[in-house]
Amino acid sequence: MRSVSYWKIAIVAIAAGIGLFAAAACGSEPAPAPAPAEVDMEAITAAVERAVEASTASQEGMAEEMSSQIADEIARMAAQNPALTADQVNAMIAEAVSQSQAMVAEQIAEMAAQNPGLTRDEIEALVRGAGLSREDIASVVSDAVDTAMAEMMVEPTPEPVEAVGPPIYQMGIFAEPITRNFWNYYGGPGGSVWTQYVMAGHSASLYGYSDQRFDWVPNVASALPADLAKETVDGTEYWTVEVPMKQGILWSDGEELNAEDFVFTVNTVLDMGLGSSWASAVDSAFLERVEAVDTYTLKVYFKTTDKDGNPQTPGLSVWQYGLGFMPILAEHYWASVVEEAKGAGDEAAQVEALFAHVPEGEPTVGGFTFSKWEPGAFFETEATANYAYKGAMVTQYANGAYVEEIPRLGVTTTLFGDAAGDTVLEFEQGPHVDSTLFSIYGNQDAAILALISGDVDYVFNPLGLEKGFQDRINNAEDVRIVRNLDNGMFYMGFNTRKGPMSHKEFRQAVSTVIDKEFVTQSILQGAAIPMYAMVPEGNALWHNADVVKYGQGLDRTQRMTQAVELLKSAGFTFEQEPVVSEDGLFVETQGSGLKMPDGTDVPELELVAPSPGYDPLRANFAIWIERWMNDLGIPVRVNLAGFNVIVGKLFSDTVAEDLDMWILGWSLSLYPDYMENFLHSRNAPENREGGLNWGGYSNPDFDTLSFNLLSETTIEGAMTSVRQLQEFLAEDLPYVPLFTVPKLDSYRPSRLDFPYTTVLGGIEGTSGMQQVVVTK
Amino acid sequence: MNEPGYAPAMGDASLWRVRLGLAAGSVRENWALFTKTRIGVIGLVIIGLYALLAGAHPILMNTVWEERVYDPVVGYAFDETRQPAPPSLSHPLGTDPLGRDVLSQLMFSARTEFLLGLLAAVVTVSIGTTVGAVSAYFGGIIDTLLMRLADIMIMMPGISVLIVLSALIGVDHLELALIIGILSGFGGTGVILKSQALSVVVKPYVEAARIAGGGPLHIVFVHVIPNLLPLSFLYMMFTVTGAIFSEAVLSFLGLLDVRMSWGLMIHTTESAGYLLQVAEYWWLIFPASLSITLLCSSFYLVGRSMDEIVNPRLRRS
Amino acid sequence: MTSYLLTRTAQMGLTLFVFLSLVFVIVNAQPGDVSNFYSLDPDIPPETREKMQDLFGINEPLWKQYLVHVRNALSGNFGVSFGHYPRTVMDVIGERLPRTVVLFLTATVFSFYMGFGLGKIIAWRRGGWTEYTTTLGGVTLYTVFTPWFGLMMIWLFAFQAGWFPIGKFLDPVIWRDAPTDANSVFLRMMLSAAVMSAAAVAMFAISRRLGIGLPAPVRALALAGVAAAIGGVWLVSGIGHLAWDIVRHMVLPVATLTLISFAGTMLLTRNSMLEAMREDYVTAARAKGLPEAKVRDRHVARNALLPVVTSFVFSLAFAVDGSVIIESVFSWPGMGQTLVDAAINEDLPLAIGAFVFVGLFVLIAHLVADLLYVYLDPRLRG
Repeated sequence: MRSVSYWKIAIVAIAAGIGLFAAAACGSEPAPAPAPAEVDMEAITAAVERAVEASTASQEGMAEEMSSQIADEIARMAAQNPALTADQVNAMIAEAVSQSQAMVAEQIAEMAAQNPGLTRDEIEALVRGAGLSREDIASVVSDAVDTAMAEMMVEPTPEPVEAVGPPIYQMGIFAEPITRNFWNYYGGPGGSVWTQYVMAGHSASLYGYSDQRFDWVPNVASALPADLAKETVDGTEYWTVEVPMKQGILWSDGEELNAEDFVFTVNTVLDMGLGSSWASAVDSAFLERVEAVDTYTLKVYFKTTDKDGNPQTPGLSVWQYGLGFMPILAEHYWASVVEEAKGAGDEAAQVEALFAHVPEGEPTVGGFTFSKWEPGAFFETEATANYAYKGAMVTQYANGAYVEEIPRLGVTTTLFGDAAGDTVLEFEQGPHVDSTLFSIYGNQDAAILALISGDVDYVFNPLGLEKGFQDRINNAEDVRIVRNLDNGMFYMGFNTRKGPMSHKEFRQAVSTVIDKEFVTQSILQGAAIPMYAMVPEGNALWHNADVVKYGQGLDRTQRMTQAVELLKSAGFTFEQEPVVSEDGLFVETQGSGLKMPDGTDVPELELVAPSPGYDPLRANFAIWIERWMNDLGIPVRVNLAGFNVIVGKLFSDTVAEDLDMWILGWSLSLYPDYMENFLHSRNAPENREGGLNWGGYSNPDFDTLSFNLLSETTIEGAMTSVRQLQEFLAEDLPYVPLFTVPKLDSYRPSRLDFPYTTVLGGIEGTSGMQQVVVTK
Repeated sequence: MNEPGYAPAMGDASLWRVRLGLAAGSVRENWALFTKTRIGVIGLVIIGLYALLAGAHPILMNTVWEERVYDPVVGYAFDETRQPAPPSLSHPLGTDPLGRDVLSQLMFSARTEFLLGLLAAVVTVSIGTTVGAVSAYFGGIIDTLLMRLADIMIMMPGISVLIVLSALIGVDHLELALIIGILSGFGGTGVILKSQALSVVVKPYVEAARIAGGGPLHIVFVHVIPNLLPLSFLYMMFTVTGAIFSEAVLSFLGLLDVRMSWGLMIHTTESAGYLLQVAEYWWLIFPASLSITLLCSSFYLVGRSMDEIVNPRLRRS
Repeated sequence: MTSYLLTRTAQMGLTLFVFLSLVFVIVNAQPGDVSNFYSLDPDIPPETREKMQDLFGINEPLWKQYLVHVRNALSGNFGVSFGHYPRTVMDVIGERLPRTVVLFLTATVFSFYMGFGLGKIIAWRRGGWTEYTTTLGGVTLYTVFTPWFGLMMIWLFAFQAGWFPIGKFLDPVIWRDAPTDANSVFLRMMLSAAVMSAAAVAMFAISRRLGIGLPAPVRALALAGVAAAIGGVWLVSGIGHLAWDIVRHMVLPVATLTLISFAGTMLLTRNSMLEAMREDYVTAARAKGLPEAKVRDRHVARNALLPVVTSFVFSLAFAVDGSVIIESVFSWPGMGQTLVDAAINEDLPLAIGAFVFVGLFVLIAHLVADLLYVYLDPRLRG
């Protein structure tokens, strides 16, 4: 029953899409053109910045799909917000409407909308009959229909949404936030992604990433800082820098934010020994102290030597991407709480007391403050009346320039060159909503259902949006999926302390037999993207696409042959080499009797991987890897286990002896200093309690290279170093990067307008763009 | 009950022979009663069908089904372009979101479910019968201890225990069967079998065996336990239901470390997001869910029907 | 009788102690600890891990942890939940328990009435098609794969038909301006139910004391009066619409629970009836020429009620256990979902707390069942 109505809706949507497409096509290009789809697109691209964005959103780059999206977008914009659209758009739409052909097309679209029974053929016939058709349009339309069927279903004529009360941004989450105490969330056990979503609009830092482009821009600071300079104070040499702050930024209770708030936050972290993200923002190995020179000026002192007296430089990850990103909390609210907490006994008890504080009436400096939390049901925040950035206009130019006009502070900041030429992004800072309401659902199914039925406008899917959900959303009315690359990786790690994993050639051979393309494209149907470098391609600034890629593009026979060669070149011997069938589809005879260079048998190895219950993608990948390695003649057995069993194994005291290979994933930071964290020998558990280099990878060249990155103070230098690191690791393979999963966001376009949707990590990466979203 | 009330002095072998003869006679009689209940027959037929499915899987895999396509775990339907693919001639129940043949998974899992149920049932009944017989025969401190243990087992919130165990420690099929067997054998089943055993130990032939010098263990295993077997068999049926159900629930919640099972098939469907597309992707939802339901209720129905025969107060004259 | 109850209570105490020890063993047999879970983030420096362990006292020796565990469990202090840090476990349980109790009390009462009513009928019509179809249907629902059945209910009645809300226990839009929180409404709903049952019990006691059965219309009228009074109080309370919102959200899970569990009571009633029907007084009643319905309801059913009532108490206890599935499916944040989430997220204190509470619930139910048995069975009284 339901499927039939879906189908009808799909037809209506397609029909209307065709009409609108025709309208746009004819409107912008009155004379027939040889390749209308592309010419149209160019015309529209030139006219509408927003449309450009939509077109680049689709990185797969199907021109037809883009055209129909753009046409839809223009029509929708024109229909709903004539005042907001650029003059050119209005002109274009007016022109389109004036075209009689366009009128006819619209009529057809309307007709189709009213007669859901019309089939695709009938609609096409109508379009043709109206004299609109050119062969090219027909083919494009046909493609657009297919694409729309498969990919995306957009309600072209959204129902006018009745304004029910004040604008509320309703979002679906499917786990409870842990806390609303910011200290606890940022650096305590309260830091789950869910907490992050509901707390996203609460704080500010000296510097931050710009929207979409991730430029490093001032936030509370009033300008980019000067370079660090050596300065001798009281006979001790420091790296110092002064940071001027904006004036007039108010906390939600009306107090002004000043340098003392920053100093207070840093001192609290240091005094109480807060850990986690606090500790990485305020790195006491580097930071000496901060002080307020005056109300609006900070001075930061970094140590010039480490604890052993060796000279050190606070690199990007310490200062710019570290302390500069630390959230600032209100001294006038927290000072007394912190004082009280410090009287609570030993250090652990003090921290616990601070984390346990329920921040009733806590002032925030972001766009939102807490309003209500009904555990198990919902979490609500309300827009802050005196938010400093409210109404600020942000403009990014194609030449790289960044302009921020803040009316409430009377400040205009222009960075990275002259504000001239084409703009690539322009939007007004909100909040444009009165409140954000996070509904808590028991599982993803329920949350998606709520999205489809219109109970929420947006759903967070930190665990990914799988095929079936996409399918459901595509079949629903008025729900859109946006696809973006994400900054995460899934990998297989080796315990390089033990043979045979200690042999580079062995790791390369294993990497060669793993057919990432087959698994991601065939089995996972494109739900994942194969990975070779340690920085995902989405992190474009740092990604190195030119690393060596073992096995890429080879068929089964070639993979086997190459892997056998690699093993033999390192001195491994086979009793029986693997034999691939004549059609090259499968291995007829598995390899066997594999001996290590020292003549001993390769022991039965264990590959620990998440169970299908925890993560079907990785479980499936692991089982295929097991099969391919067995084909090659490496005796390996997959142990599918729950997450905490795997983690327990990695953190156990006997990890050096018990571990062989494992599969896990990382969510990565934008600045790729994590390679040092994962693989530097000083981070092996035997060298550092709780270190993350579980495989015990130890390579002096890599150690030097990765450690140098920590002291790197320029982006250029860091980029060279990061590219080298990726090349090195792709060759030496202590990790085999397996795949990365694109981020898919789903929302109701008739309810929400985002200033942009193309961004690394997706809308979710910015916690739902609560500050800038416009509800309709 | 088919209890021989005589011949205490016979040797073991002949005693068993007599029992077997009697049993054969009573099987015929009980079968007639069993068929009369109808619901039990329905249950048996369904169980038979699933047994056929389970048995046919290895045969198919070795003959018509190519391993790289039809393997329930690492197979891949190369002949389909879009996964999950709807039912076709080569894949009668379609393929799952990872491109594996659903029918093959269903049949493969049927065998696992039978093995799981059987193992859990055997463990339950071995423990339960022994506990019941020993507790009833010896009484006193042994009885008290075993019954307090039973109290604890009964008090154990079964599903919660299994969830906690599988989430925190990690449990596979074999361990699951053992846990269910122990919980039920030392718990509810043991108590019921004990109350039955109480009526056996006061029978004259037990007294006679004791007077004739039979050791306690001899009496328990030769005279008491055989008379508990019909009731034990009945409780095996309920254990099977419980075991299959628990497995399905735990797999569905993604807590069991298994590679394939009916519950996991639904979990795969759920995590891939197809669970609520009931009409569009029915082959991902109905085969496994219905199989769980049908097999569980079949064993339950057979158990109920046997109850009608074994339980003298329900037995029709 | 007093000594019997005392012995039982002492046994229960012992059982509780053994249970607590078992819980401790299970929880500690699992690998890793919470600090693993939180430190799997490259931004967290390794030193933090130790700090985290200190914070949670994980590095104490095992025996010390055990003593602490038993003492804490007995005093109801399960510590601080990791997953709701820094809220205490008791706080979380106190918040979740009323939700589970309201949902499952309602469902158990419904399924009990349905099961008892149907059980009477099929026992009386043994061997007929009514029995076979009802038994078949009942058993199928009883053994149905619960998550699937629950989802089908949602799909059919909430999604396709749109009659009921999809999951959750309240509508945030209605509640965001609510003057009170959900739990106080739940508590008041429980109070209402308690008043209602007290009225029913009082009625039963009065008619028993007087030795005369009050006519059915009088009883119904009196109960309706009490119900109307309660309804009136809700109406003027100003939070009536909130309670109504919760009730609306309860319909589907309660219907699902009723359908999947009534067969247990039904089959028990049937067997119990069949046994009772063999008693001499039934033959005597029939010989007197009493109408069949009267014999069934007055003579057989009343005596068959005994085991059914005690099983009702048990089923209530195990409802909390079984709640994990239904609560997960219906997004109902009660004890069951709390336990599953805590177990999966390795929130050890909360897992222990929730687990012990479920166990405690079952234990108390056993005790109540014993009491009821003694009260209802005249042979054990006096």
